[in-house]
Amino acid sequence: MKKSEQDSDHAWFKERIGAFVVGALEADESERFSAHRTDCPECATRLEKIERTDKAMQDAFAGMQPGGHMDARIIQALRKEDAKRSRFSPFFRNAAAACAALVMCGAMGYVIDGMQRGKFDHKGDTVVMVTELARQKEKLETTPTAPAIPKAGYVFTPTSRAPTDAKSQMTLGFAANADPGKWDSSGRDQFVINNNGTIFQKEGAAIKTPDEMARDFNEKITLGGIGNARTRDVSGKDAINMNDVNDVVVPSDVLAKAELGDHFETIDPDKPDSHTAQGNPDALTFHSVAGKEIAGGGGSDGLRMEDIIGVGGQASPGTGGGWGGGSASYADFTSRNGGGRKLMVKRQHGSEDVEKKTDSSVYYTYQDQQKNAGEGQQAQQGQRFKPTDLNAKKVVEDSEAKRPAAKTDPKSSAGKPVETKADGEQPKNDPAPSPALTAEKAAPRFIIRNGEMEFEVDSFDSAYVQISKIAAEESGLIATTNSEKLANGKVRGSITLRVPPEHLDVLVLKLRALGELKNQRITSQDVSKLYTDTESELRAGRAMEVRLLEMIKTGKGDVSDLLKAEKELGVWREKIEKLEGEIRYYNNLISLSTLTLTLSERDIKTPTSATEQQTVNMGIEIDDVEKAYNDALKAISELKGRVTASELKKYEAGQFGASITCSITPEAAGPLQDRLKQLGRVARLNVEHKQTTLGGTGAPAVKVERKETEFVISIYNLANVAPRLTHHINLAAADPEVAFQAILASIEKAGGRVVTSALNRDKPEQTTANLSFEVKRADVDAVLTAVKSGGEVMQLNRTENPDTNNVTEVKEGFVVQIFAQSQVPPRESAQLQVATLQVAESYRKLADAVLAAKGRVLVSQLDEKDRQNVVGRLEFEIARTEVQAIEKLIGTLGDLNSNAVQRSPDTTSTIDSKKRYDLTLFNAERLAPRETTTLAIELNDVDKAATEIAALAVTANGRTIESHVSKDRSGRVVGKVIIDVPMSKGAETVSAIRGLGTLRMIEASRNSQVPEGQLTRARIDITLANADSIVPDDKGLSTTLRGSISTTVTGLLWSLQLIIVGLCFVGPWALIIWLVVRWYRKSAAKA
Amino acid sequence: MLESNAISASNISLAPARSEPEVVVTAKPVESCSDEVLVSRSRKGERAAFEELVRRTSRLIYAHLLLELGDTHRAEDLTQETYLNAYRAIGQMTDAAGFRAWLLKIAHSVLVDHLRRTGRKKRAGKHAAPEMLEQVPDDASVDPAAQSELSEARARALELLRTLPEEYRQPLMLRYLGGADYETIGKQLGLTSGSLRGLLSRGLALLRAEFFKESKS
Repeated sequence: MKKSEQDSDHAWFKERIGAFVVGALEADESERFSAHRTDCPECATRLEKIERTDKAMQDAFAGMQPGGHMDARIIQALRKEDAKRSRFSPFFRNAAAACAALVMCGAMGYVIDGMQRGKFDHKGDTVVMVTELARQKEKLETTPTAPAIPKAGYVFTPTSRAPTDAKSQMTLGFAANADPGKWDSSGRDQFVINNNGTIFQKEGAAIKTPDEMARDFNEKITLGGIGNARTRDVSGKDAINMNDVNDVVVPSDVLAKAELGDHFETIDPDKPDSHTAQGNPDALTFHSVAGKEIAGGGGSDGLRMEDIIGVGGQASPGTGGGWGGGSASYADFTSRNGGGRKLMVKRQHGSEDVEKKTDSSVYYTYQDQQKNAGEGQQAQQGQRFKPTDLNAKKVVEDSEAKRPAAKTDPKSSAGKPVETKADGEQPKNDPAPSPALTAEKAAPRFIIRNGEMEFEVDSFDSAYVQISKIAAEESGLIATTNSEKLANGKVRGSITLRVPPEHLDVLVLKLRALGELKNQRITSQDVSKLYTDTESELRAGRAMEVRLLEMIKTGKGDVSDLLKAEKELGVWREKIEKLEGEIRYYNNLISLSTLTLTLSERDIKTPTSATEQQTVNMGIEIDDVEKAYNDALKAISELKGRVTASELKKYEAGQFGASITCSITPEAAGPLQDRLKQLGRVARLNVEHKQTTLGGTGAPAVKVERKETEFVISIYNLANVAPRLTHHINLAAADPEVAFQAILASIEKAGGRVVTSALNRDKPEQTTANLSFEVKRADVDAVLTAVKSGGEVMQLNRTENPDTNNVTEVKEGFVVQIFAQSQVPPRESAQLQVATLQVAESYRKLADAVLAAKGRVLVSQLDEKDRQNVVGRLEFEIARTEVQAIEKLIGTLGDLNSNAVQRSPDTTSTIDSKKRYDLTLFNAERLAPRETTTLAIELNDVDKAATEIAALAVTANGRTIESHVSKDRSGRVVGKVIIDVPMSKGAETVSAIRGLGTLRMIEASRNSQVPEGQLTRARIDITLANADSIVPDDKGLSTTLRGSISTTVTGLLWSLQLIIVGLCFVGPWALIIWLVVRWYRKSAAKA
Repeated sequence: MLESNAISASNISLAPARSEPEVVVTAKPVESCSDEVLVSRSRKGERAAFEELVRRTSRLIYAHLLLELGDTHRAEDLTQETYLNAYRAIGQMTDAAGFRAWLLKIAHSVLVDHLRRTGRKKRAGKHAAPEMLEQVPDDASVDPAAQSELSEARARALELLRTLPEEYRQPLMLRYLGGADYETIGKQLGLTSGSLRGLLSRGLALLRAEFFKESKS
């Protein structure tokens, strides 16, 4: 028991060890626990061990227990979360974010879409540039000293300094004497504004306004000169100091002093300047500027500035040999310049002291520079550059200086011969001062003046007297005269006048009064050179003569020498004589002008005699040619005519021809003509008068001589002559042969001539005949009647041959063609469609009638294969007379459904005496209804109503086409009945049907294609129903729903598209950013 | 580090948050309700009930997490996270009696998430091992030798606790790691005093056996 108690105590103890350790034992328990502990060493040890363990554990985890605040913090976080959650749930937030992103994407897509459509708009840029230009311009123009601006051009240069981009640069130069065409290949676009404000463009492209150019190139407004335009080294060598040359900004005070032709440039005294003015001979200004420049102008080799200005001079540092070049000293650039002047402007980025230096002499004038120019100019040996404005004065002076020198020479030499002449044998005719020459006093000219005039005068003699008087007045003389009297008594001649040249003009004026001036010519020939040359030779010759004479006089030397001298003298004298002669000849020509007058009397072309001749050409038609020929010859001989030729010929086919040619006195011509006319019919008469004049044209002054009249007569018969008029007749005859014979008989009776005739008779129905014959005019009517009576005339043409030699009107021709009537198609044909109840019976009835009327059946067929659709067709021709009876019969057969009558426009190959019918008979049942009435009737018993309607159709003599009744599950019964009734019963039947129930709908339509007749039907289409649906199908909820969904989907797709575009735009960026971030993180991690 | 120390529990209960949703006024104060009732009230959105549940279970969760992590701060953070997750998901809970198990499950998943995160961080080489770091005390005056000894002891103790079966481990865990007294342990585990007593005693006995087995070896 003890043991068991002990055991239970142990268990109890063990059970409570935990509580004890934790300190959670109840007071009473604690007592018992302690008691056991002391009692049981085993338990005590165990407890002790446990306590140690517990202690160790507690120690190990000391400080790791949570503070009391942990709960508080958690609760705080919960409340925060709750607050957040109460506003937006995370789902809602995410959804909102997604929506926002989508909308953003969409918006972006929209923008991109818009961009793609409209591309990008750069309007803003241009505006900025223009504004800039305007601002700068304004600045320039508001400067008080601005008035010089309008003279100047603007230079618009882009600030880009890349020399390789020269093409994009543009320079506007001052165009002093600018010839825009001469701007050369400096490799960029150049524009020039001249002083008129006109803009020239280098390549002749469209001219731009300054504004437009500024829009293209505006970044800075710069004023510059042509010098600038040239500063690119044309040789391709890189200039040292030129890249910035266009960056010139001209201060307004300098600008105010600017004149046309000036130029502005940059200077950088720190660098040698290598601007070359090369390649622009028109440039007004050249220069060489630099603080440490090597030399001034001058020199001819090399490409540097000093080499180019001026030609021929040496490269001479310090003396500047250039054109107008100054005596340059290194430091002072003001004395370095070539012609023209230059406005120096400091460059913006020069060093400060340099700026000061240059500022002091920023502007200087041409005059300043001229002072220094003297030496340079003299040193210059050649002119390479064209003088321009400022140099022009010099050139003018030069030429003025030269000219007097040039003048003195000819004056001194030309003066002499004039004096010689004055002394000489020539009359006092001073050759020099002709009015034309007075202007050129200094250089006497030797001019030969001659003239020619042509007049028409009344009388040659009186004109001659007048001329000699005028010539005397003007101290002239008549040199030669000759005249000629023509056959008609008129005189023609010419007079040569010699007159001093200065009188020539007055003389010409005076002579104009002579008569009618036809022609005038004044010529002049300059012989100055010839004259002076001859004179020189003469002077030399005279000198030689004098010397030789002296030699002979002194008598020094050998005899042989003297002889030689004599001989030489002779040669020289001969030469002198010849030269003197020449001089005299010229003097004569110069001193006296020659005026040649040609005179002719008025009406110089009047004829002297005239003859007249008549020619008669006759053609006579006659049957008896021979007799007429003899008669004609007889008449000629009676009238004392002279037969020059006559012949009589007989040709084949009884053709005779005779011709007579004779001459007869003009008086007898008329009677002969009359006699000949009586011989026969004059087919042709040609009388020709011809007058011939001699010695001129115009009305003959003398009596006209009449020559013998000539007759050319031809006489012929008409056997082989074609008739003028021909009848072409096409005949349709019942029996062609009979008609043919009748026509032949009538020809014979009329004594006509049958040319050809043929009768072709293969079958009686296909007989044709043709005839060609000629009858006398008188018998034409009779024959024509006979022909017409032979049959029906299909065609009758009268053709008239051209009225020529080989036709006659005495007879008329006929060409007749005869056809069998049955072969000719009728003019009128009718296509009929007849609806009949009994097709076969009607067909037979009609066929019989046609045969009875002696009609000709062409097609006949009756198709009875389909009993429902029996069709009969009959094509026949019947005579006009039977038409009425047949048509009446057709009317009785049934309803005429269609009737198309056709009249052929071809009247020449058809006949009107018969008519063709193409008749189709068909079953009236197949006729479409004339009227269709659609009815919708609501009633209770559909089946019964359908039966009643069928009964109605039967009573109305109609039939039921369709009848059926359908029933569906909902109890709705629909019946469809279609009936045909005769038209007359239509309305009656419809009203009967309407009475069956409630009429819901009625609609009637007429088929206007269907003709109205006995057999016409009315169709009634009845829909029977027991109820009607309330909402029509097309207006239900589903339709509205479908429409809305469609709209929604469209919108959705549109926004989806925009979102996709946006994503496409954003996506790559997101990817890039993500990649970059990842890379960055990785690299950071490595670090 | 934890500036939120200033906020005391009483403070919170006194200051009714303005944004607090309509408080469900119930006849019984939350303190006197059973766990099941509290769970069902929490599920209806009554935060006060859930807060009470937090008070009743927080140490368990903390201890559980600390046992796994060995880092007090981290354990506290994860505890908070666990409750936030639980609060968000309380609506989905079905078994009111299994609240603790459910909560532990959440804690476990939070822990796993956390380990995955830190594992990633470790791979990235950002931090040294947290278990080593957290042992370094803030107070520099402590003897480093004693410190290393302590950390060694802690590791051993944790290991010991981990070896125990779940049912015995929980009370002891609460005692050592959660700093809970007997009553609190009972409350945290939702156990009656009698059953807890046995668990505790047997647990301690097991622990002792393990402790001495280990110390011997």
